[in-house]
Amino acid sequence: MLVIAALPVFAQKEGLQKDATHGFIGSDACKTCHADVWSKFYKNPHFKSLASAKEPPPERTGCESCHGPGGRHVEAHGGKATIVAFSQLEPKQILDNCLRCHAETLSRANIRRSQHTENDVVCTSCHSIHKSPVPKFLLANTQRELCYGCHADVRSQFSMPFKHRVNEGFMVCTDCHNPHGAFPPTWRMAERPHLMEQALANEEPCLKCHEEKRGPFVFEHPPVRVEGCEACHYPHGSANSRLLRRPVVFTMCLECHNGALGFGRARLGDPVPSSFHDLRSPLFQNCTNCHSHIHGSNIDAFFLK
Amino acid sequence: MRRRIKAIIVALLFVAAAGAQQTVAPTQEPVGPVRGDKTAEYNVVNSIELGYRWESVGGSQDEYNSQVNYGNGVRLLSSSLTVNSLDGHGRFFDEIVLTTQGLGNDPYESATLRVQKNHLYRFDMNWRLNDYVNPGLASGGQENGSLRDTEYTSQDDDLTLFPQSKIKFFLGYSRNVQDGPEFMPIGHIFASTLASNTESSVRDARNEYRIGNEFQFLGFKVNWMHGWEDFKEDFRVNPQFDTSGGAPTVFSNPYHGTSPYWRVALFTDKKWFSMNGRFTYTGTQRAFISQQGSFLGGQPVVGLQTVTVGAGQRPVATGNLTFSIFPTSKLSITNSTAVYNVRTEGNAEFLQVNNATGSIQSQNFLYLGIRTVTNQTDLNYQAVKWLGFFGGYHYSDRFMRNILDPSLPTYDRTSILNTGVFGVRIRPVQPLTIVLDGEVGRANEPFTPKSDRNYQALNARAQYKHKSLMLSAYAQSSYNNNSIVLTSYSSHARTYAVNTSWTPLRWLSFQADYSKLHLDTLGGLSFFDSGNLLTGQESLYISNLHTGNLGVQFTLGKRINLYAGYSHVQDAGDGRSQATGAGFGPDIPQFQIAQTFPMRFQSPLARLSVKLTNRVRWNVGYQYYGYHEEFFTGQSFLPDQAYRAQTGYTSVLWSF
Repeated sequence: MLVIAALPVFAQKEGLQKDATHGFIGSDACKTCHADVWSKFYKNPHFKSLASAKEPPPERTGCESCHGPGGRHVEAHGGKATIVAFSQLEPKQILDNCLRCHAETLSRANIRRSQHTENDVVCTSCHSIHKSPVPKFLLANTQRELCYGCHADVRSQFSMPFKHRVNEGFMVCTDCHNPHGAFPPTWRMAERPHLMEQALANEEPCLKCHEEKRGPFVFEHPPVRVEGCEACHYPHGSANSRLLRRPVVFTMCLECHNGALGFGRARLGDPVPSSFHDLRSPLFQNCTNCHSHIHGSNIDAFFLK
Repeated sequence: MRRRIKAIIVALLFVAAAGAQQTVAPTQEPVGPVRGDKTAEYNVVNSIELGYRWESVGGSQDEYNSQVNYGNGVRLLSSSLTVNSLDGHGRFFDEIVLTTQGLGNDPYESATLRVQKNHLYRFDMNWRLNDYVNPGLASGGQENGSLRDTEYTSQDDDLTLFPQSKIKFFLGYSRNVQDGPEFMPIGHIFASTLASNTESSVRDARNEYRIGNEFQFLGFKVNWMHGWEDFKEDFRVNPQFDTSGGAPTVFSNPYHGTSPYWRVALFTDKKWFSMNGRFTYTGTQRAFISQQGSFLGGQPVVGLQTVTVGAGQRPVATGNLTFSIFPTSKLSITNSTAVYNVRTEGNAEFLQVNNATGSIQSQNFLYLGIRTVTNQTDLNYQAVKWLGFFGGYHYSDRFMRNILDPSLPTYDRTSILNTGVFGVRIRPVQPLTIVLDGEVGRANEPFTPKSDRNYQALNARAQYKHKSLMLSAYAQSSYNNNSIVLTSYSSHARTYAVNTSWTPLRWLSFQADYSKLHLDTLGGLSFFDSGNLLTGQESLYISNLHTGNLGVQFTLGKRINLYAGYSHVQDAGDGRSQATGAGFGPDIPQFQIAQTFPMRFQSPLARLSVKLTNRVRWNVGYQYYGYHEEFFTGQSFLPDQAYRAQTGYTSVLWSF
């Protein structure tokens, strides 16, 4: 506790620096030169701070709430060096400025430790405060194009013949991910988290839509519960039907059901298909033809119905 | 000033239009630069695109429906309405944002609505519909017996009272419904391949109600939510004759339940530390009954009835606690602990009645308990302006308890995963960012032969962004080795991707990307071949997926926009020239075929958009979809799933 108590001593002041000489002058002064911004500002969510006239002026009101005191800027007849210009700030400074107001939201509770922050992807990487072309959240582009801009590999996954319908506009990335940073995952072994947005009961977000897979079932298919959906499916897109990891179902099943000791619920291995499953016969090459309730069943231990 | 406004408008137009991998409709181009009508209190901006969409498919209509599914007909392709109060003091609202897409029978429809009055309320609605078709296809030349043609609708409604206040209230309602016909096997299929498939109807419905509140307490924001999720699945097989036995089949299997839950979160963000916690408890309960007549396990037994009844519980308690400190402006240290505790248990009874004797048998609900504790410590240090480091140590401990039968011993197992993560950020010049990072993990007791045991994931990303030019490159390798005595498993996945977007001229912009995804997986197999158990076999699956997207946008004069795009996906497979040749592992044709899956999926598109007046734009577009499976297309002995689809649309976009 002593160490923690001593930490503020080392903390450095950042973000807005109040200047006693060149102080806040109010947003009206900004209209003169920045008429293009001002003319549309009533549509901006930040306009609330001006409209209410209840926010503590001037630090949290209008233009100066983000750009800092404008006195020097006016005296100098403009210039990026005389005001807080976001294009000149370091990523962490941008984050700190925005979080002065926006930290107080549950969905952003983990933003300072998120993978995006670690990779210098901060607020203005995705949000355009004055030039947003989309009607909500001041995004700098449509959401999928913003994400694809860095995640080209994900764009390619959504280009596959079988995919979740993000390009078609039915889904968006934030249905499953929280770009502001998520709580640590609790499924699988918590390895390689990808800013996943938890569903009910801290489950994988897949179950937000595919709730019929949640169970509980009398006969659970344990990997579904223990390893999660990704054990068999690619979540974004796949060249294989039903987003499966393999084009032919039986190879995927047999990679686990090979009887190798040490695995499975009782460490006895995942059972090898019984002797009537002659893998030469087409009848037994598509396992889910018979094991149709493969995610879990209440009435059949072999997921046949 | 006018020049600046014009430049911004042109830039926005390009930004909105340059994205590749679009569907051809709705039209991306806005009508004009200046929109909106002002009344005394509000500014109103409206945009409506009404058009006709058409399609013509050659080849497998089933596969087209599964992958694309656009049909013929008149559509409200898109619409947008925004209403903003001019002074932020509207009488009943300050903002309305309404957007729709695909209404009128597109397979992907959506509508979103936001209505809010500053400081008083905010209401958000999100409605979606997906016409989902899965005609039982399986890749690799196989045919699957489970067919489904359902409609999935989802709606979320959220009302926040006093959204800018220190005390907020939340009310929410969500509803998901999946409804439609299904064709699936019930029981074994001994007699013939697909003869025992049964027509059924499925209806899943989820309703969720939630109420919550947020307030401040001792410097912390406290956010709590209480909700109830009700789920029901009504599954019924329509009576018909089982072709294998001639006996009428009846099967119904309703499955209903509720999941009441509590979630409490608290968080604070100070200059030198931040802290948050999130705790949930969910008490899922489900009850089911299954009634089946005339056959047991797929083998017809006339006069036999089977009933299974029971109830299951899955209580889940979770907790997250994260504490971050910022000793200096350059250093942050974070520790997170997550706990997850779940039990799956219940009771079930299996009743079997026939004309001669009756019997009742209890079934064991397989108990599955999982307790996972995860602790992560991460450090993020910005050494100098252009160089930063991050790294951490993650520990995960998962305890599982399995009771397969009360008369058998309890099976417990504990898995421990130790993981190290590290990374470096380099910004040699302002527009260029390079990030290298990696994760190395060791698990002592993975659950399945494919789970992560000894794995490493390395990533490298470089991005150059200057004005309208953006270049990025990405490489990733992800290796996992889970080989043990008598069986092997190793997986190597490598991804390389490049991406660029640029607007070199006011009338020209383009976007292009390419990626290669390589995967090779070696797995150990054991199976029966003509009654003989073969052990110690191996399979090797190889995929080399190449994906490219290109989009070019031209603005010709003041009125005409032309967009052309091309998307190409190709799996080159493992390089073999025929399905059963040059394989690895078991010398069985079906195994050889399953080791690779070369295919091609391509989709060029073009769209012409002409501005007729300042408020009206006419659009026409064409998009082709072609799907081809290298070893199976055109083969008479296997189902041919290839198709060629011509699709297009014409529309009028009206904005004011």
